[in-house]
Amino acid sequence: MVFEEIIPGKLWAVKYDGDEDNILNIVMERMMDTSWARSICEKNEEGLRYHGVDIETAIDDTQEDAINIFNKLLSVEENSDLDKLFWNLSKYVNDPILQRSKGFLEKRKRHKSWIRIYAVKLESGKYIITGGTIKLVKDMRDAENTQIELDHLNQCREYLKSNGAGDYDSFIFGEFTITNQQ
Amino acid sequence: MNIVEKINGLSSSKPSNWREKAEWIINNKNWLRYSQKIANVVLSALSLKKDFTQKDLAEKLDVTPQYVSKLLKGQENLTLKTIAGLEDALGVQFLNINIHAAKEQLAPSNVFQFDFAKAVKSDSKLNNDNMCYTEDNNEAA
Repeated sequence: MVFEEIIPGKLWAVKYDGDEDNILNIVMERMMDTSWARSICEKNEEGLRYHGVDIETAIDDTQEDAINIFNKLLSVEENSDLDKLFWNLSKYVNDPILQRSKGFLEKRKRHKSWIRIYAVKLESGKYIITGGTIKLVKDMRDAENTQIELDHLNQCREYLKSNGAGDYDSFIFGEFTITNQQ
Repeated sequence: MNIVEKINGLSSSKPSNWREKAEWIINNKNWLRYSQKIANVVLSALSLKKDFTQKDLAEKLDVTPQYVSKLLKGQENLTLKTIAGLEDALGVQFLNINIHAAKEQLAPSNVFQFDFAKAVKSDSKLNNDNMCYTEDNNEAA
């Protein structure tokens, strides 16, 4: 694992061993891939029923939201406050380090956005992106694609600790999304 | 050593090209969204028509199965020929150009009018500066 700088001094993305690119680039490619979006939605039909949308609408909304998120990320400058961009979604039940709450792209009429960008928050305004996916389940452990993201969060935290990046038990480690709100 | 220095010490020296990738998506989003919507419908059709595979679609379109696979990613800048081929193969309509609605959108109250008279008058010293648009419809009369 290695990190690639996204915004100097405040945002990095993991590049996992065996991957050709950093995870932010991979997430952007995935979100733009209609086949990928369909395969995730097909595996999470229960979640779609909960949200009351058919699979085609879900795919279309996902890809529209993804472009909005990339646009939002592009607007980040070196003096931007990332704590206003990344929205903590977590208040995790079983682990005090993990937090989970609800977050979403604002102005959604039908349903909240289910796109998630996962990151470790090192300290105020400083994040490492570990992944991103479509989350259609309540608990990350309930679907294969979100479980992989949970594993990546754990992997990143362990890597930071084992490489002497501190005993940062205060790392906030969980779901973040990028919202339209400031 | 602060946290930024520690993270930088664990970072690649190779700069990330994420910004170029994101800008490309934003700059191409209009046609990209069309391509994604078409891929969405084609995937739906392939899911509904169990006896109609990607290979069958490739044969109908006279393209390789690899191209169909790329098309289904929703990132291909499809030609009109391919779109028409998809419409024919799947029995759906993607393009429904309403000439009359377009004509209404092009009506004088909705668009900048090209000041033709002014351009002709200036014909003797015609250059790019004389080829101008104006919102004032009466000026041309």
